[in-house]
Amino acid sequence: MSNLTFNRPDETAPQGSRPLFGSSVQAGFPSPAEDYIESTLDLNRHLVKNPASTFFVRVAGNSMKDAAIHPGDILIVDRSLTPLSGKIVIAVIDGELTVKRLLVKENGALLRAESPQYDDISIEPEAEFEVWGVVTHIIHQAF
Amino acid sequence: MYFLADCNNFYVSCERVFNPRLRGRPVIILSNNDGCAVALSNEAKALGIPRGAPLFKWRSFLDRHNGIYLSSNYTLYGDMSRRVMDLLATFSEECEVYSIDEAFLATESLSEKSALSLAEEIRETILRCTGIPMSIGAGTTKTLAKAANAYAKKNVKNGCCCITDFNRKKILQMVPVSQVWGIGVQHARLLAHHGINTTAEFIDMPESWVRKRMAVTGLRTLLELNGTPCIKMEKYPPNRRSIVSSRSFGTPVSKLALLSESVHEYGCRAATRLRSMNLLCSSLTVYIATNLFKDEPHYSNSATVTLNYPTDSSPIITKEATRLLHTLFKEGYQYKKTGIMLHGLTPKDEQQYSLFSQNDHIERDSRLMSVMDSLNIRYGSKTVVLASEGLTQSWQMKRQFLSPAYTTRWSDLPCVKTE
Repeated sequence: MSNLTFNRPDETAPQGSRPLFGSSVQAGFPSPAEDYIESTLDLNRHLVKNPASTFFVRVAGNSMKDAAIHPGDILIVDRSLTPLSGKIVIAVIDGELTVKRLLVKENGALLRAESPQYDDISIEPEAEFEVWGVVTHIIHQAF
Repeated sequence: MYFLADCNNFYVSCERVFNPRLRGRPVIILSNNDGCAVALSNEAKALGIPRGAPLFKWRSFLDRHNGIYLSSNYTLYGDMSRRVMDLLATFSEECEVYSIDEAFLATESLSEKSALSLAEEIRETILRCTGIPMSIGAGTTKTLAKAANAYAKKNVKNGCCCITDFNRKKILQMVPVSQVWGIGVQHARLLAHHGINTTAEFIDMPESWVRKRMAVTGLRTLLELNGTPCIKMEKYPPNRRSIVSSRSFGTPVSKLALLSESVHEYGCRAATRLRSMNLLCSSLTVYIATNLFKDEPHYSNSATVTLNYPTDSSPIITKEATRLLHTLFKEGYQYKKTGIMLHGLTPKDEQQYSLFSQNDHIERDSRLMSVMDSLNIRYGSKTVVLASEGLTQSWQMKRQFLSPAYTTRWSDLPCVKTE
């Protein structure tokens, strides 16, 4: 079994992220790209704030089309977020994961389908009902 | 203060997160080749199904009771475990992953009230963020935290318990000494022979008596149960349900080659331990992480692979681990930790190919490699590939009731309805 040797970096060297922007220094002939150096855009970091609690799910059915959610779309769901009224949520209804808009009322809650063909599902205050997670983004293939 | 956070019915709970229809029903998770039950839901336990129950014997019984049997989906369990452990690590810098579904956390000393409220906060966070229910035990030693957990799991509704100097006796009366961490079957039998059945009875025994009959490990357990810490947070936790080999680096590492070396070493280490326990693993997880507590870019990730057949072979384990590491590695981060976890452990003598002793097994692997290499050189690459040599379909694991890889495969994402 081989032993590991690690090179010890200078402990006193500053750690942490490097500056992303080169400032526009008015001298000499800087590289034309210098001012534009940034890190590459990481879609993961942009869309997933809490990796441990974020899940992807796929949509079946088109009763959420008025909320721009279409069959085959991928939803990004963050379970750590509080399901506030007005949010699009994944709820457990009859043992199935279902996507709806949550509307919290004084006398319970409503799960609204975003399509005129479907009725709201009203949740009695004492009813057992579970919000599985809050939808943060919709990924829709353009063609 | 030590905390032991343990997922309730972990494998079943993972399945239930994505398939709510399994809730409230008897569910069993099957071993390799769908042989027997390795994990059971509380409903299945209540029906009297024992751990290790062979499917063929209990299948119709389960069918009659609206029960469900599933092949073990280690890819899913590995991913959910990573999420749980990542979240647990945010609560304490000292976090020891003890197995796929449990971890010790160490904090500064806390009052019973603050310990309980922290335990509840941890439990609530893990449940909300992952859907996995946990029980959490707290105490001034690791053994007490374990005992508090065992008590909480059975007797406390919110699954949290803190053992203090004041309630210790009362709680330990409810915990059979055979369930205490560090007391094996032999010692439990010995204690029963002397009329000691509950842990409360055990902690009153004189130290000399325990030392004489149960050696220094028994004495350590006694001291721990009486509130004297003897067992520190470990880097190489021994465990039978999974084997973890991981380490934090002395200084951060950013090069793939070095990480690769460390994963290789941990892989060998874990495989050696596996063989010393006469076990085979059917799945392995590799994880890498930057330092969460430093103000620099963070990245942590893990990947799990289910092996084609259970193995204890170092070459296979390290090869798979290295392959996983390559998929996880990202340039530009200062890594603090890598590790490897072997799970789905099964006794070696239950496997058909235990005909081969461990040396033969490795020898066969290396003989195979050299023959394969020479054939490939002579007749062109990929003339012979590893998977085809001797590992015909009959060796392949039977996983007839496998749930989707909900969290790790695009084609397997959970489906949500809109209606």
